Amino acid sequence: MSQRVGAEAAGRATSFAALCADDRAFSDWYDAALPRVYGFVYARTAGDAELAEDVTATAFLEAIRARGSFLGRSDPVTWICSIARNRLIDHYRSEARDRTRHLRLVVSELAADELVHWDQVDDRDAALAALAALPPIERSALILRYLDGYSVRETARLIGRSEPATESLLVRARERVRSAFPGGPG
Amino acid sequence: MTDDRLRRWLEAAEEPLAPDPAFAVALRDELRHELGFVAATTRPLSRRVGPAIRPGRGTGRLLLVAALVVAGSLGVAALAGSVQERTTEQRPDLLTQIRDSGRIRIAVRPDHPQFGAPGQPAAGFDVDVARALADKIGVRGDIVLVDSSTQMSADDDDRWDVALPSVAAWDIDADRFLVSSAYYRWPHRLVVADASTAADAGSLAGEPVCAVAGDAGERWLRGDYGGASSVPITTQIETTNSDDECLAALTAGDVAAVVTARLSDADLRVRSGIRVLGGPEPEPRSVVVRRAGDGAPDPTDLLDAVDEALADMRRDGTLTRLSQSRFGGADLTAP
Repeated sequence: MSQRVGAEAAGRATSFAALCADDRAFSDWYDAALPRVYGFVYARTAGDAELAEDVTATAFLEAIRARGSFLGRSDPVTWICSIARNRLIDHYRSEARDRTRHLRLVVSELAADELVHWDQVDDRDAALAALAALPPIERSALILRYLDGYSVRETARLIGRSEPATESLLVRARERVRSAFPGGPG
Repeated sequence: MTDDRLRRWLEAAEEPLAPDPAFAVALRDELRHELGFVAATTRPLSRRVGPAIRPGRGTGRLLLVAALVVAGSLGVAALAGSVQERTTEQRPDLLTQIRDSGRIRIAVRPDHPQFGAPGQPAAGFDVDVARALADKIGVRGDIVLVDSSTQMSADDDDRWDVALPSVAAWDIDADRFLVSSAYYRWPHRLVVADASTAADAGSLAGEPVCAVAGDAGERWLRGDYGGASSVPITTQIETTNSDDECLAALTAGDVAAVVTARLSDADLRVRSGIRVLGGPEPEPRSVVVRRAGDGAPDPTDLLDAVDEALADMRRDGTLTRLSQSRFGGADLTAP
């Protein structure tokens, strides 16, 4: 079993190295990969296209520069998404330290009289709106926990908070989403 | 709220999504440079992104704009310096400037279904040809999306060095542009319903025929195709805004035939109930370079380089391969 997995990984690594050596193959792969990576990042920036472009570009560039170290343990797109996730975590940690900006974002949370009804918006827009309304640190925690599948302990480590503080963040984030979209996932 | 339900709901936000086409092209070029496929001396995206993500909204755009302004200023300064150093007999040469800068800006149209799709990264036949052209000339190609009417109308558009307007070569104003040899020929097909008894275009005289308004197909019906006058195909010409509208009119029995504007043979093959009856000679399409204005760099050598590159691409099969990959196996590049 492990031999088969090892062979698959080696095959992915070899394939990725090969397409990085062929202009046309690389361009074809890029055309298919870019929307997947950008969609992944765009969701995690809550619809901030500028930030999503920056993170997407950074992730692709880091991946290409480090292509020699790609071991094929996952699909290359998954690998690039993981790089993007790390850059976003860095970004949100930094942003959370920026108290002025943090407060400004908190003030921009959805107010009670701005409730959006679930049946009036499309799924992507609704989810993005909900994420955008969260303070960056709560957004980061919610995404790591529910989209990326990390445990609370892992999420706490990644965002640099204690487990109880992270649990508290997640409770608040869920509550904000539920109250913003009364007909939605709540 | 259950965790599963929340997770499923949030997953809707991360479906694949096409970014801004200009960003997609710029990043592709940056990555191709990293991989050594193209040389580059200016790298806007590298200035935009780095180890640290920009701290605040808009900074990335500002950096990009700043990079472009700097690049533009350098280009203008280089041009100004070059002009100062040369006598009036020694006009600056556009090809030399492009080779010195290591990049060529190529305008392609974003509004044609064969050459790009709304919301998708720039891709298609013209983008492929533009990249191959840049490679042959030995510089990095920067794709600039400009619709064909703007390419043909703006004398002072400083965004591009050469353009692929994908319009008939005979429609290009020779007083303003230098025109390369045709790199492909676009077919306009005369289409009738399967049940039609028409045997050729001549049998449609007096019958209503549909064409896209302003397209070369309409001019062919009027007897004004290819820059020369001929006998009109019919006197009853119905015009619409798209091929689909024309085909709908054909299906409804409102017209006897349709002349296609943007549908390829591959597009037609997947539609049922119609057959191709012929059509005009395919429309030649070329690369264009602006003629030099007062003090502007001489584009003659650049056009020569474009023609040499196209000839090379014909010889080595590049044009055929690109056409077949984008037009359902058809080679539209044969002379």
